[in-house]
Amino acid sequence: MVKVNRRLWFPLVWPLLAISAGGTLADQVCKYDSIPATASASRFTDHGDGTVTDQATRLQWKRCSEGQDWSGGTCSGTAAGYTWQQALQQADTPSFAGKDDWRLPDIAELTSIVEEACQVPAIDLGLFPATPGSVYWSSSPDASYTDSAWILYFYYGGSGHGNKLNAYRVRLVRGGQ
Amino acid sequence: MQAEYGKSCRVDATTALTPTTGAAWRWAGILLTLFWADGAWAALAPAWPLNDTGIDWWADGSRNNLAAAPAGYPGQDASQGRDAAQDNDVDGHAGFSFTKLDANGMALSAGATSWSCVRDNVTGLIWEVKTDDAGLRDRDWTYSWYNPDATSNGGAASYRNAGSCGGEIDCDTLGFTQAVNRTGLCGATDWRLPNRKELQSIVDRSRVDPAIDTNYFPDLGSSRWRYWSSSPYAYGADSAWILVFNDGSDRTNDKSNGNQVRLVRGGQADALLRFCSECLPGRGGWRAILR
Repeated sequence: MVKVNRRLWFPLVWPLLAISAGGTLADQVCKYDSIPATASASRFTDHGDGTVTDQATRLQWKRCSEGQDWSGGTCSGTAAGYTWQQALQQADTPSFAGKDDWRLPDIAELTSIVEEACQVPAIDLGLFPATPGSVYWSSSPDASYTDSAWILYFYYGGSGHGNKLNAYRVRLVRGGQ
Repeated sequence: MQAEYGKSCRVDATTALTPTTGAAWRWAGILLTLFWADGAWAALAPAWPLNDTGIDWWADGSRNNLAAAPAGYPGQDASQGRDAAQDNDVDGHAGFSFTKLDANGMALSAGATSWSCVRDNVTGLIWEVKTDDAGLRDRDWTYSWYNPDATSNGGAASYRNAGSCGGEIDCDTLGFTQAVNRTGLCGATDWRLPNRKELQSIVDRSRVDPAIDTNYFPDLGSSRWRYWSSSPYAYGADSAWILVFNDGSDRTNDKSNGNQVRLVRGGQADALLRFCSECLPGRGGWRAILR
């Protein structure tokens, strides 16, 4: 069996597959029978207003990505792309669900909603509807590279180094501290 | 009911049947919480405090290690959390809070020159500190990933004894864990392989090479810093997650590869969640039992 260096080609191939599929996503695959859930809905409280709170971390999350609209109990529209600076500045956007202290999560907080039993995306879609299997920004700068910050590849759940000028997705959080 | 939460709930029968006082208290605690009202349970839900990242400096478009938040780049990691509120190195870099433990699990002073384990006072986890003596727990030994439990191995038990280690044991994650529990490291026999998020909790992202507080963890390998987690990879049954402590990133790795192991125990949720991960009410799990 040919052993490929997944570390190198995997993050490159998946975005190309998603793009070539015309923006439609491959079906999510979850393996709950062989992998314990790590961020499933049983741990969260649904406030019915487009936000959920993780009772373990005490973090409150917007269910939709920035650029999407919360309506009809789900997220519609396309998750927008932002540079790292723009992503940080999303914290200055208008209040949502009666709260105005939303912010970009750090990389540890962002990893806490990764559902390791699932792929494409590695997130519970019941909690976070219409999440694309895309790359998301964290507020954590990268000690390895002055031009990068930490990102989370939500198509498979791993973290990595993202150039601050690239356009990635944003999900806002509040609380937890 | 069994099918409803059985998918993500596995009972560790070996631990459950261990005839110890600790196990008896665990069962008492489980039964007690079974009958707790849903609202009250939510208030008592096991907390899983996240460590902050260790980053106590700011960045702009082209510079790191800035002493203050630059204009135009608001709300960065360094502005929030314990790294902002407790930015001292008294007990670990920035917001980290560690305590050194001796071989019996007793607390030592921060200046102790020899210690066997480290307790993370934020997460409640207790970590193995590796040795440098070519013994059972030497920092340079490697292990293949082996887990015969079909409910948690992601579809493949994978490789027995494919690492390179001392101690005359099977050089895989299960063999090493069992051997350490036989020795009673730091007065405990319930050591386990950490999951991916637990391993990430001791990553200090303010630095690289290695991305960890070496005042408490000076024990990384002499040449390789790749550590197994218990977390299997949903996309490929032959892989599991590792933490690379050069920079703190995580990635998947073939289970046949030899990687290092740092065992962990404890955590506030450990006593309950070792029996049943994700067994928290919300989808009627506990209420279904009471019906």
